[in-house]
Amino acid sequence: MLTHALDIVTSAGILYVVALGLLIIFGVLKIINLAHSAFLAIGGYVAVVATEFHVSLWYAIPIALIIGIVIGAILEATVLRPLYARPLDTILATWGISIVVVQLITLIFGRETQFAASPITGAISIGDITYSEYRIILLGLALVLGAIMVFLFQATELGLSARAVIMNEGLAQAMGINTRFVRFFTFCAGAALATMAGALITPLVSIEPNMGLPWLINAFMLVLVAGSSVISLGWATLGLGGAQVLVSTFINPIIGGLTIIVLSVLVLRARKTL
Amino acid sequence: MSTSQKSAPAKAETASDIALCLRGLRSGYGGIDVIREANLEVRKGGIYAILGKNGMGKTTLLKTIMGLLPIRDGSAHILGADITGWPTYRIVRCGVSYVPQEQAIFQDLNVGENLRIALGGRASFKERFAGIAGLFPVLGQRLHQVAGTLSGGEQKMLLLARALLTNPKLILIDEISEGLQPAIVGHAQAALSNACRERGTTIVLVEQNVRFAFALADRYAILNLGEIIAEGETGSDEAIESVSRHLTL
Amino acid sequence: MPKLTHTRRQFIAGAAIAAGGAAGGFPAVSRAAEPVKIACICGLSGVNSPVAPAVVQSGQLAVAELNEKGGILGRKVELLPIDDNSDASGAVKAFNSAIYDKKVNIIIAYETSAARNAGEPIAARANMPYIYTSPYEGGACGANLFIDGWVPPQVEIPLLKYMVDEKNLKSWYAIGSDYAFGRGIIDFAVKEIKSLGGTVVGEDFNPLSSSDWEPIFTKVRGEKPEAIIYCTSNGSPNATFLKQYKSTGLDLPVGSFSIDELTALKIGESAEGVLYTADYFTSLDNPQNEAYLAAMNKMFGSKLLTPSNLSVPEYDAIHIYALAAEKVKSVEAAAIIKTLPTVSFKGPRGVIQMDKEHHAALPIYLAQIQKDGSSKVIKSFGLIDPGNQCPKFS
Repeated sequence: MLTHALDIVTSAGILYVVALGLLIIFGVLKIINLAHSAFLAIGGYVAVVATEFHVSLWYAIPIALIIGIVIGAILEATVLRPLYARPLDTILATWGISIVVVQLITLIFGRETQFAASPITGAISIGDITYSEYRIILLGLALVLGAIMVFLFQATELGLSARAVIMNEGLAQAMGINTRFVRFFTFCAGAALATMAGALITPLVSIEPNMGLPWLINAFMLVLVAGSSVISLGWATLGLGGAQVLVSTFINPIIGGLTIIVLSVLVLRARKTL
Repeated sequence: MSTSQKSAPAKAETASDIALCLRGLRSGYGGIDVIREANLEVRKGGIYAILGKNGMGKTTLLKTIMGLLPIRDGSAHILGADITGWPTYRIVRCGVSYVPQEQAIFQDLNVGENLRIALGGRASFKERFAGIAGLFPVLGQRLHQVAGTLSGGEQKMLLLARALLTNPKLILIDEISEGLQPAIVGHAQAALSNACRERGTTIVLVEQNVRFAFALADRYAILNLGEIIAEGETGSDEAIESVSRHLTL
Repeated sequence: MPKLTHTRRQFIAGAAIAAGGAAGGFPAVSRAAEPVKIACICGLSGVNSPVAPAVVQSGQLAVAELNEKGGILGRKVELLPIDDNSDASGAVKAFNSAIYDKKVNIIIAYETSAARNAGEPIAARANMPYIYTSPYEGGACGANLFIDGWVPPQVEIPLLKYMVDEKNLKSWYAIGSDYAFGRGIIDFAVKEIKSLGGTVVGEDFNPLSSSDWEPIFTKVRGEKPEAIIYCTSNGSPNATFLKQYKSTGLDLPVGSFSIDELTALKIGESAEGVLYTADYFTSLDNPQNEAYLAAMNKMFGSKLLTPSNLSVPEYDAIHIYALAAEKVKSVEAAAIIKTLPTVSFKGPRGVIQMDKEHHAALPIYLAQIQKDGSSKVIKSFGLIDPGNQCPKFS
C-alpha cells in the first residue's frame, strides 16, 4: 500500500518537473514548444559531460539551468520573436529547433546511448519497505520547484505581468507591460526548466539524442489539461500520473502507457461539452 | 474658430501645448483601411470628445494611437514625442492611460491586482491608491474581490480608477458610458472632470452618447468613415446643429 | 580495450583510409579480373547506427586478410558498405542498388528484422546469396538466406538452465519490452522456465516509449520471486531498467537477454551481478580471438570501434563465403548457395558452420557483469544448436 502511494507521488513529481517548462511557455507564449524534448536532451548531455569530467550531478543541474537560459535567449531572439505574429509557424519553428538540436547532439556525441553517473543509486527504508532514494529526492525537488513557481507567479511584479499576458496579452500591453520582454523571459525560463529537468532525470533513464521524445507527449497532454496554471499542473500530474501508476500496476504497463493520453482526451472533451 | 472646420488645426499653437496630434493617419485590418487620413490636434488640459456612429472607426482610431494596431501611413505625436511605430508599453510609459471598451479588465485577477498591473512596480500602490480612493470609495473595500464578479458599473469604476492611478498626462477612453445606469454615468463624469480640473489631465473620449460627451468635453470632433469631418467647441451654438446633422442622418 | 569514441565523421575518415589502402596495397591480386564484390548492407543511419560502423570495420579486416592471401579465386575482393537506414524502405533501396546497380556477388548484412524481411524477397528473386549476421528472433528461412548470429534458444536455454538448475532458482518474474523481439524472447523464456520445473509468478511488458519501470518493480516486490529474467530492446532501455532496479533495493539474481558487453561497460555499477549469455566476448581466450583483436588494432588503431558479438559474425561470414567459393572454384550464385552450409570457419567465436537448417550451432558463453561494468566469462557451454529454425531445409 505504502509502495503504491510512493509510486504515485514520486511519478507525479517526476512528471511535474518534466512538464513545468512546457507549461509556462504554453501559458505565456500560447505556443506548444516542440523543442521541449530537445531541451530535455540537452540537460541529459550536460550530465553526461559532467560525468566525463567527474563532476557530480548536483553541480550539473545548475549548469544545465544556465545553459538552458542561454540557449533559450538565443533561440527566442533569433528564431521565435520574428514569428510571433504567426503562431502556427512559431510552433513549426520549435519543431525545427528540435530537429537541429537533436542532430547537433548526434554529431557531437554520436547516436548511441550515453550514461551519466548518478549521485545516489541506493534505496532507503521507509517504515517496513525500501524505496528508491532518488525518486524521493526528486519528489522533494518537485515540491520545492512548485512552491518557487507559485511564489514567482503570485507574489512578484513579474509574475503578475506574466499572468496578465496569459489572460489577455493585448490588454497587458495597454497596461504598459513590455510583453516582448515577458515572452523573452518566459521562454528562457521554460527552456532552463526543461534542461534542468533533463539533467534531473538522468539517474533514472539513459541518455540518447531522442531521450526527450517519450516525455514530450505526456507532458503535452498534462499541459493541455492543466491550462496555464502551475498549481493545476500539480493536480493534473497527481491525478493523471497517479492513474497511470495504478493502471500499470493493477492492469498492465502497456495500458498504463496510454493512461495519461486517454484520460487527458476525456478530460478535455468533458470540459468542452460543459 | 468656426465649427465645421475640416481637418485644419490652427497653426498658432506651439507644439508644447499639444497633447495629441495626428497627421494623415491611416490604419486598419487586413486589406481594409478603417482610418483614412485622420488629422487631429488635442490641446493639453482639456477634455476632447470624438463622436461617431457605430462602425466609423472610433475604437480603431484609439487602438492605432496606442500602438495596438500599426500605423500604415501618417504620424502620431503624443506630448511632443513622435510615437509612430512605438510599442504600446512605451507609449503607456510616457504618460498615457487607455481605457478600452471591451475586455478591459482581467476578469480572474482581483481588484487590487488589476490596479497594480497598471503601475507595473513603477510607483507605490499604497500611495497612489490613497490619492484616488476618495473618488472610488467602493473599490477600496473590494481590493481582494475577483474583478469578474464586480457589477458592470463597478467594473467601469475600476477602469477609471486604473486609468487615473498612474497619474497620466493623457487618457484615452473608449465609450465608457455605454450601458451604464444614469447614476453611475454621473459618477464617472464627476471623476473625469475632477481629474481634468485638479491634475490638468488631458482626456480624449470616444463616444456615441452625445449628452455625456457634451457635459464633459470642451471640444469635439466627428469621425465619419475613418476621417475627421468636423471639429469645434461644444459650447457653441453651431455644435448641436453640426452634431445632430452628422450623427442622426 | 580501446576507448569507445566513435563519431560518424571519424568512421567515414577511417573507411576512406581503409579503402585507399585496399586499392593501392596488394600487388598479389590479379588486376585483370573483375573484383569479387561483397555488399555489407547495414544501418549506418537509424537505430542500428551505433553498431553498424563496427560491423563495417570487422568486414574490412576480413577483406584485407583475403586480399593479402591473393583474394578469392585470384580475384581481388571489394567490400561495399551500403546504408539501409535500419528500416524496410531503406533496405529495399539498398538491396536493389547492391544487386542491380553495383552487381555484387553476395550480400553479407547486419540489419534490423524489418530491414531483413524487406530485403530478403529482393535477394531471393535475384537468387542472390545472402548471409544475415545479426542475432535475431529466429524463423527466417529462404533458399538463398544463411544466418550466423544467434537465435533465442541458443542464448536462452543455457542461461535459464544454469540459473534454474545450478543456482536452484525456481520462482521467477519475467519482464520485457513490448515489441516483437521482447515478447518473443520472454514467451520462450517462460516456457523454458516451466519445462525446467520452475514457476513464473509474474510476467509484464513495458511499452518501448516508457522509461518508468517502477510500477513493475512494485509488483515484483509483492510477488516475491527468487529471480528476474528480462529482455528490453538493445542499448538504452537496459540502462533505464537496471538503474531503476538498482534503486529499488531489491537484491534478486537477474538474467538478461538484451544486454551486451559494451552497454554493460557503460552502465557500470548498476549492472553489477547481471548474468547473460552470448556467442562472443572480447575477453575470449583463444588464438583466433587474440589474432583478430590484434589485427583490428593494427588496422584501425585509434579509430577502432570495440568489436562485439554483433560485429564479429560479419568477419566470420566473409571468411565462410571465401572458403565456399574456393571449394567450388566459383562465385556463381547457385554454386555458392549450395556450398555455403558445407564449409566451416574457425574464427574468434570458435568453429562456425551454417549447416543447421541454414543457421549455425554457436559456442555459447555465460558472463557475469562486474562492479566496473566489465563482463567476466564464468562458464562455457560449448556448441549450442539453434534448434529447428527452418525444418524444410533439414
